[in-house]
Amino acid sequence: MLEGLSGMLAPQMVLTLALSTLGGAIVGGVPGLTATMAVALLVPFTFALEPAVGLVAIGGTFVGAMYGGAIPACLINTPGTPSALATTFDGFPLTRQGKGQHALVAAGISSAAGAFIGGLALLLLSPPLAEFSLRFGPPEFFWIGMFGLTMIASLASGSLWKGLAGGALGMLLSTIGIAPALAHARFTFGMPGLLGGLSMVPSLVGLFAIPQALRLVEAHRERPRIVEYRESRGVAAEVARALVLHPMTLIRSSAIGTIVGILPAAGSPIASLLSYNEAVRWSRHPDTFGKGTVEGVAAAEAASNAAAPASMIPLLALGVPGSPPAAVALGALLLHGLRPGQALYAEHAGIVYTFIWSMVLAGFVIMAISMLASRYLVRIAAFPVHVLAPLILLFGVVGSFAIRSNVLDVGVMLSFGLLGYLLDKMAFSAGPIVLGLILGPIVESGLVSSLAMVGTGRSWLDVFVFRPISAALILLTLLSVTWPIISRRLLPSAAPAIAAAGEDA
Amino acid sequence: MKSRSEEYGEPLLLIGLSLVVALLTACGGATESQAEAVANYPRRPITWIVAFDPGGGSDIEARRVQSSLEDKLGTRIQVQYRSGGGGAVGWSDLVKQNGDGYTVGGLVIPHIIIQPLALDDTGYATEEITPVAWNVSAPAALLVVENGRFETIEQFMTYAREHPGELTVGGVETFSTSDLALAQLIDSSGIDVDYVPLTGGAGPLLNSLRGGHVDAVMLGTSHAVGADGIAALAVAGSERFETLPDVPTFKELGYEVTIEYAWGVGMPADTPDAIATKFGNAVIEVMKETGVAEALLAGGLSPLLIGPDEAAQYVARQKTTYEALMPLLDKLNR
Repeated sequence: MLEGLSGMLAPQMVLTLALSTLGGAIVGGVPGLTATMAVALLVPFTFALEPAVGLVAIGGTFVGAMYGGAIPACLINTPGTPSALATTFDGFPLTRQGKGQHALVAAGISSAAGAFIGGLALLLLSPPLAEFSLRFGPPEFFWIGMFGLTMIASLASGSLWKGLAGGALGMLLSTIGIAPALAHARFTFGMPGLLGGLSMVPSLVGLFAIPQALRLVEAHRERPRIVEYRESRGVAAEVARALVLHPMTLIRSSAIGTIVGILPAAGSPIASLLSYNEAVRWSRHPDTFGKGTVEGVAAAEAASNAAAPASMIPLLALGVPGSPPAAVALGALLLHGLRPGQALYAEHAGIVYTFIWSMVLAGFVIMAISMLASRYLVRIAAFPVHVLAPLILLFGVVGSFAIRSNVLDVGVMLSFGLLGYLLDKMAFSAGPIVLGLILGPIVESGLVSSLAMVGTGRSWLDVFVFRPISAALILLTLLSVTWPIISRRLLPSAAPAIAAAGEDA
Repeated sequence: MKSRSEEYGEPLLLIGLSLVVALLTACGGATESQAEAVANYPRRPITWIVAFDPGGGSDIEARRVQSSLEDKLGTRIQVQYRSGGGGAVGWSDLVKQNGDGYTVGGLVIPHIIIQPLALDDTGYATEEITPVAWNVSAPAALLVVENGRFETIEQFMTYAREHPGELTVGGVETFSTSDLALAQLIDSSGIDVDYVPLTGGAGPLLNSLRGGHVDAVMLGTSHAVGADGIAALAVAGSERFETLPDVPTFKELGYEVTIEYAWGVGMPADTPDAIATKFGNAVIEVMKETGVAEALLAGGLSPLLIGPDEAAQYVARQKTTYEALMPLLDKLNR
């Protein structure tokens, strides 16, 4: 373990880590370009490098991209990567209030904290966490999906019914393509490009970036810029103090991110949404969320960044990648002739631990980037709209195409853009739709596989309910649904408390 | 002062001459490029479509041969990912490309055969792809948890016979190697086990096995070699797998299971034979280089040296087998 640390601290490695994290942040910072893409682009280069260096580059890029996605999420209300979706909820309001730098610094600090904690889990708790992840079978994934759907209630700013309708629409749209585990295609209208369903990134870009760009254009006479640039001093100290004084947010969010990250297919977007949800639930001033609080940004970012190293736990311990970038890392390992599993730890401990340490330490690079660059990055929000809006659209189109070199994806993006714009006019929020899109496949595949498990001697109760983790998840789901009612009875509503640090003088 | 005809004469002559020259060049150019295209192939970079996500088996197989192929053919090979629909998106793209040899696609068996059989509209037909080489294979294998309930295939089969319908065998979704091989086993042994389609690919499948959510899984030898805590009970094919010498074949026990995975490369069907052959032969040559076979076997894979002349027949043979299994598959996947 320590050998890995000293390996990581070699100058060549530090440079690799710094550059790859920066590179990842840049790619993540462009809406439409994802962490997976960044890592996949790296793979050909890693062939030429030693395995350890290549892996460090992958780790740094991954963590960097998770942070980078927060930048446009805060500044222009467009998540740069799907994981930054929850960051828009409080990040953009902060920018609108002229506190963009607060948002970016908060994102930086919490990303660093999340990466650090997730990395520590990877370093110290891999075996028990990997063991834990094995207990999740199809029924458990079904219930996780159901639990996730209860989050719609808190994501729907405004009418709950519209939120539910949005979630239902999202789930309906997620059924496009070949049904999970069944061999028939749905809603493809004879277009082979739709056989794989709607791609996440074009959908996300379409639902967020396009309506945002159009909104900016609509209002550009009254508001020629998102916000006027305002010189701010002492932001970093202020934000740091706020977050450190309320450490529970960072700790809880990182823990949620770590746990969700070890489950394949769940991933950073779910982690950050769940973490945000819980932050609202446990906060003493839940009303401040959604209007621009540093805590909200922190909850989302810490979770998504903790999920990144956590997704490497099943990869290294079990050979099963917990996220698409982890899958790329698996490919890189296999190409170097390294098979993940116990053997890897035994025979190539140096390489493994160097890789792990790189993810632990990537957080520091992120902190540095965010401290140095935030004051300049925040000027992006001050760009005139007639420059910003076309740029958003341009990146949206390019990013959507770049994923699979498929023009259909651009079509998907534009369709979602139109849909998002119309829904926006009708006061639907896009969050529940995205949630439905992400969770639909998880719920459905869990259901289909679980139903197949029902058979002789295995009743549906045995499969769906009489399993420890499933039972716990069912309980959580029920609690989640009934919580608003319970909390009103148990905790008498206090006067609206003082707002979060972001608004303190 | 020139007369009318003289005035127009010069420009007309020029135009006429230019037209003739242009025509000659065009004709000459056309016939030239046809034959020359074949002889000069490849003249520019070749696109290799991977119909799955980066990091997966198809990606690895593309990378395995990429640099040696680039050397042999003297041109760059650019990998492009077009994932979706279990490969259908990428393959339906492949068949739409020009058959000029500059776009190739990584192929996987059974996918390219079974998908059009199982689905109404995959966007491609098996015959629209000309396979030029099949270079890697892995026989199906029944896997269980190491030191678990079942240590030999005989124990498994005995238990299955004595407790019909009780055991669950997991596999990759439906209409894949998993249920094809299981169907063959059920067909030739008469046991009654439940098939559980699982999503997410081989990795999560093995985790489901390790977590005890299914009693066994039907995958391939590449998943058995080097996977912690996983043991193979039996493998498909007529000979034992080289790096799993202690694992019997289903055939030894009297069960007819022949299903295997195979990876290869193909081009759109209207590609000239000469070009297809050139590329296919190059791939096979790469497979014969030192170290390639060892690397494959270490990973639970086998080199397959089926070149352009036999590639299509290989596909046809598999197709016949699958077609015969379709009714049983439908029943299994009810």
